[in-house]
Amino acid sequence: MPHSSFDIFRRPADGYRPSTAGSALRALGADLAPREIFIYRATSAKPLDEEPVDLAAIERILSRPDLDVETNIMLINLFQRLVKDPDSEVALFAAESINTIENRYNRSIEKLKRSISPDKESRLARLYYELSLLHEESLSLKKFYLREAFSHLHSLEKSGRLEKEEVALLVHVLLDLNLEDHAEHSLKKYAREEDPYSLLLQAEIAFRRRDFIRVLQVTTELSQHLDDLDEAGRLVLATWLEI
Amino acid sequence: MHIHKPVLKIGEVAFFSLLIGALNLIFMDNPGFFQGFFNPYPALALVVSLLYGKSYGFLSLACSTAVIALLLPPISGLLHPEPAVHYSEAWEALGKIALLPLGISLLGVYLFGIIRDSFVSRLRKAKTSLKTVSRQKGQLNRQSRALIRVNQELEERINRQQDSITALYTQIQELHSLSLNKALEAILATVRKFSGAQSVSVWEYRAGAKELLLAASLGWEAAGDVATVIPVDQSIEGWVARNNLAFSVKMLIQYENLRKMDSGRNLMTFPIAPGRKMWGVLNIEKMPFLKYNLYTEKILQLIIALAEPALERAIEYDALTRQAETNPFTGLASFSQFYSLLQTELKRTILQQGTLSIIILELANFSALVEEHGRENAYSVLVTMIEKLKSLSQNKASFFHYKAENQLALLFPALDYDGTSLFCLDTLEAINTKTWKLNDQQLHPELVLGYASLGGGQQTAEDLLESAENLLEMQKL
Repeated sequence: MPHSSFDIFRRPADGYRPSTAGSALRALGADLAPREIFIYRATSAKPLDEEPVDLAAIERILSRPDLDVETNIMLINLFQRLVKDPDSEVALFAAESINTIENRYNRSIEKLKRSISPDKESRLARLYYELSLLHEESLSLKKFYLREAFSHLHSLEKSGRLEKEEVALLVHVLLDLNLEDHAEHSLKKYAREEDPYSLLLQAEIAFRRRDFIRVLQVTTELSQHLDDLDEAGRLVLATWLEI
Repeated sequence: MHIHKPVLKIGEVAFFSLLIGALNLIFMDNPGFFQGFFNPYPALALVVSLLYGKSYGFLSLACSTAVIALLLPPISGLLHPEPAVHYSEAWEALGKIALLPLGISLLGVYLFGIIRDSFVSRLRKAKTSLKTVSRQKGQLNRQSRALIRVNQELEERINRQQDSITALYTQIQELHSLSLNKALEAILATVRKFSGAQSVSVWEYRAGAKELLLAASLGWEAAGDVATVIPVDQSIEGWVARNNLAFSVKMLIQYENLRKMDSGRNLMTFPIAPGRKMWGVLNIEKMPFLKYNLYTEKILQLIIALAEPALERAIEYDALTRQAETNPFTGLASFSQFYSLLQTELKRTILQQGTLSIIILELANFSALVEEHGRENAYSVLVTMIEKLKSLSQNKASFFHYKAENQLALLFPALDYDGTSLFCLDTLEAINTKTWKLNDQQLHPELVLGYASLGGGQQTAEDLLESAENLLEMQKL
């Protein structure tokens, strides 16, 4: 019978069976596993929060210290669900993992506070904003972190060091604090004219105020910058202007 | 100080030739070592040609000839003045005896030089190819390291992806629980996942009372002024339910009538009409601006379309069990509800020419468990078992109590006889491999199964029940 890539399933070997793409790649390098195992493992990754939850995969991802905010948000949501698991070991693991993520943020914040980095305030504001995103379910904690983020952005504002990214962050912090007027005022004060990203933020503020005619006006203006827009911006135009 | 290699080599050749010449002064009776078995002059030339190539070999011969012909006679004359020998005589004598060894040496140097050149050429080729291989290995290593990083990044991107098609499939599976509340919760969670909505709700349409009743919500602020009943006539939710049309907030710009009804609650509102019968609406109250787009709109319509069949079953089941008695420990409906639903499902399945199976589970040592641990604890074993089986059946089966209190009945749509027997095997494996504990005491639940599927001679509910019961009794034997 000719060799087939599916032989790894039809005639499973007795030896080492790697369970992750990384271990399969190392096993392939050491000639301990066929390349089909690596291809299968590498193309069979699945979202972490998909049921049934793979605790080993979660643990592996969690062990990486430099996770981005999207991953952290997803993990926190997942752990908040797992904390209620009837299996006490799973619940304990989830609780400890939430602590791990929060402690990482707290350590970074403490380290930054002690540092003399020139972008210290900006980074602190961003870390606090990320923490507020992690606590979407707890309104009081979310607001606390948003206020902390705002205070650092305010320090930057006072020293006149607000850059484009910080202005966007400030607008989002204020919008999350339901301070639409303040957000609009800050945007008008610092945004550059004819900047498509500022226009997008203006549209966002108008949307939050349910001023849909204004959203339409801003998106019409935005349509002149079609080439400068990313996929999300183009989707906004497609939705409001149906182009 | 840096000495150029050829100069060094020439120096070495001259030095060793002079050294042999100096040695030759000791044996002056044998100038040029032509008498005897071994001659160091040609030997040096051969070694030099092997080491440095034939040019240096010839140079060595030339140096040796110069030493023998030009240096040895005058120095020998100085050291041994008696008897006086004229140079021309000495050279003539040397010429007579040196011609043959010189010829052989020239040939030897040439041959050794060729052999050496051949080795050097092979070595150079091997060296070049080794350099190429080494460079390629370096490139491959760099590429491999980069690819490992890319692979890790891609894996992480998939890992953190929440709005993937596979995630949608898993979420939709959650809907098949037959519990209307659970199904609505699953719909809201799916909508939140795919639209990023911060606040979303489902409203049940009550045509008779001309109102919409809040059925489920997610992300509502506790402090908010929450209305749980909405009039059908003066609300966007009502407009959606009455017209079976989706609403999107940008429609407010265009339509005056919708603007009048707007209460600031609706960003996107979709009708839910399982089995083409209006049941209610899904309303998104708050969502990120960037998520408000045509793509999200389509995805939400897709979610509702996928959810409707499961929702239809859950609504039917809910209507059936709403008034029915349920077991206080397990929350499951009784045998009469099972029988009634079985008959309804049978009619539908026969009409659609589908498959349907029933499974009866009996916990044989239930009475012993009640005696030892109490009724509530004994039922907790059944509850754990039900949860396990729900997960095993991917929420596709409906669970009821059967005739006896230690018996459960499963109604499994779209499963034939083979599938049912495989599911029963999986069930037994799952139950028997789990470690069961009650009050820190290990348990051994004795599970017996009987099953039957629609088809062949079994076309009625009675046939199926009888067949499954017979199998159950046989298992006990």
